[in-house]
Amino acid sequence: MSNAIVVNNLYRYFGPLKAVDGINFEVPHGSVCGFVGANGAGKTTTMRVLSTLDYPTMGNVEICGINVVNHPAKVRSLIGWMPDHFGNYEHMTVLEYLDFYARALGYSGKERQMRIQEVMEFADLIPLADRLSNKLSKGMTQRLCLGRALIHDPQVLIMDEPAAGLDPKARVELKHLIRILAEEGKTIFISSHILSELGEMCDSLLFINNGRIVHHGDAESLKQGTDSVGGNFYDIQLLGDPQTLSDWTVTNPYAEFIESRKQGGRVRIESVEIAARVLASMIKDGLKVVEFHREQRNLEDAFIDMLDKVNTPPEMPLSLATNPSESPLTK
Amino acid sequence: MASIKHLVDFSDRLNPMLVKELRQGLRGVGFVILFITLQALLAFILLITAGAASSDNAGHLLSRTIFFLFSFAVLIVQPLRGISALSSEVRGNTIDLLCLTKLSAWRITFGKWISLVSQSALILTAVIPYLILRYFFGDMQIFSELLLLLSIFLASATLTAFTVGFSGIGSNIIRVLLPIVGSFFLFMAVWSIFVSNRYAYQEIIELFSLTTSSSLLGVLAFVVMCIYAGWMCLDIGCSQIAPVAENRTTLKRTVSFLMISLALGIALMATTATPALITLAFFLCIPICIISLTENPHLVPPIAAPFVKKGVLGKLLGRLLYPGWATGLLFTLVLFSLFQGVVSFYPEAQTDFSISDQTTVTAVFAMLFFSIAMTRVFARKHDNRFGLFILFLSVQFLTIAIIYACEQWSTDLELMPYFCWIPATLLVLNEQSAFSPEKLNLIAWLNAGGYFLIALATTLPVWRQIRETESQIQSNTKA
Repeated sequence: MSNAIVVNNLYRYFGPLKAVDGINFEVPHGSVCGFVGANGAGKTTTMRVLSTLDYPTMGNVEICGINVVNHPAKVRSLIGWMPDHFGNYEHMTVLEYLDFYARALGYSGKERQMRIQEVMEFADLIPLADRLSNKLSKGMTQRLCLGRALIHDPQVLIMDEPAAGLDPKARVELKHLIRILAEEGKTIFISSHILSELGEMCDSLLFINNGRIVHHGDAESLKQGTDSVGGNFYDIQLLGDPQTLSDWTVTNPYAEFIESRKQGGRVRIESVEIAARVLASMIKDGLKVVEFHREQRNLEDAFIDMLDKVNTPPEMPLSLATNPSESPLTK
Repeated sequence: MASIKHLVDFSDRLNPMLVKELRQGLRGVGFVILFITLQALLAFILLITAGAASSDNAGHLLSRTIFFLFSFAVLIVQPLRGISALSSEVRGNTIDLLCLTKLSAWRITFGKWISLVSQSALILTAVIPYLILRYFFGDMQIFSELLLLLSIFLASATLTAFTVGFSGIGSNIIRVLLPIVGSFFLFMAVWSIFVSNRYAYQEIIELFSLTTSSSLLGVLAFVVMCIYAGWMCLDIGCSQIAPVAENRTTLKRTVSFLMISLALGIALMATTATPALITLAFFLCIPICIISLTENPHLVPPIAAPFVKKGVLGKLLGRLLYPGWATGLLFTLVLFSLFQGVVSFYPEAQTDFSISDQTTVTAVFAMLFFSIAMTRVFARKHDNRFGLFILFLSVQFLTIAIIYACEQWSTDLELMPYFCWIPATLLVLNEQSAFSPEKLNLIAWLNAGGYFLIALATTLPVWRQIRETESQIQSNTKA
């Protein structure tokens, strides 16, 4: 599969601030790639360079094989851009709003009417056609923005925090629309703080921290901890005194005791192969194991582990700033 | 979905921005209130004047009232409606969405401007019936009054271009305060011409009768200045919102250079009005110099490529026509040389142009070089180049005002000569006798040369970046 997005040694400096500091990645055609990072990590800057709205200090960026600096107009015809926040126009209906962008994108006559009708049907905007565009709810506005981004039927859709500020219903609707677009074969590059949702809809995840890529892989491997982050976590429960588990791990180099739980504890074991040996030696040593199962980490944990691992003080995204157990993501 | 088929209120051929702005603008409260109030006032005044039709002055009074109301509507209210034209797009983060369409920065800015001008045109057409009715009151100079009406409309279009163009600038002082203060003075001028001073109105009507060659030249110069200033102002707005890969500079500088050269060329060939034409060229020159000296110096390959392809000559031209203040400095130097050449070396021009006029020309260029040099030395990393440049220009005038006030306060104190290193003081010294004209001209030259060299010294990193971009293009071409 060829690549829809290719980024090679991209640097973007604002004076002394290194917003993007030499990143490399590729996104294949027809895939959905999630772009994750804390506030100020360099997500929006990268996306703006991809969208030809900003220029790189150094490096090469291509969309469908076309350089964004040398051929910005060609690239613009291939991409649809949804910014994280934008204003709507006063005294303008939803229909007129789409009509304006269709005209601005060069459509005329019947073709323009067809394009407008198509995106209004897709984004469920028909009931809103005569509503003023600046009087819509956040969810409706995002649907309108998606409709606008799709008017010229772009191959690549770049979405910066599209789900921010949406209520759960609007978020589900948006996710549904993105899934349909992915099935239609569009390449979608999407940034979000809502990691659990990204995990569900993305083929790959790209983690950025302090302007550098710290992980590029699929969500499953990240959750299971078999990727570059390393380690598997096991929930082990015993009959009898749970303290025996932590005592036993002290003498066993392959199992690292993480935390105690009601009837046992949480243990980190390097790999699945070693886990089998650990279980066998626990039984051999007389521990009455009643439960031994591998835990799947959620993406928030993986994200935080990764930030710890790259040894930089993490700046929490807003949605993770509170206790993760109280976060709307884990409810 | 029937409503989609109803979206044919505007032709496909119209600029999409114009369609959008007209849809919004005609529904907006501002235009509707202005239009209805103007109609109500004009109808009311017409009825009152009809009652006093026997009076000798009734016709003139009606004309002056119509012109006052029309001028107020199109010279003050309509241009002020443009002060947030581009800034609203920038604040609302919609400018990015517009840049990603097929609309160029010019079409966006032009669309904003033309929609306001179209609304002014609606006001113009609404006023014409009242002027026709005024004809029945007698003593009407129909040609002059219609020409005056059109000239006010042209001035309105230029002022609207000013507010729309400057609405893209980040500084609130320039974007909002300047038009509001300007509008106050404009209102005073309109009031004195059409309301308080009957003779001023008659003089203007005489000028617009075009009976003398000087009035014809004056009106022509006014039209040329309006078109050029309007275009220049719109281009300022355009440059503020244009993506870095959109080259607005080359055309702007080329057209300005050609217009200035044309004005100077005609000045040299003309037997009369040479100083007026040189002054006109000078006024054409100042805006382009300020714009060129405050541009973003970042050069991207798509802009440099057409120049590089033309070889050494293309690269040399690029040093004058690439976007950026560094090339702008050289471009300003070329214009300075052009003026100096005209006023110094042509004997015909020399007879009309005294050494004190030469000093004025040199001092004004020195003021520009002073401002760019100060900006580069003291605020190199500041992004708002235009605002800083205007600040340093203003500081020069403020300094003159303070020194002048001190001199007035104490009669034997002569401070101005000690501040002759501030170029703006040379304009005042030119009217005084502290230095001989030759010596003052030399001081002006030293000022211009010194500040130019300071500014030039700070351009070195920019030339390096330009060379790197050019070699990158060449290596890409070879590959």
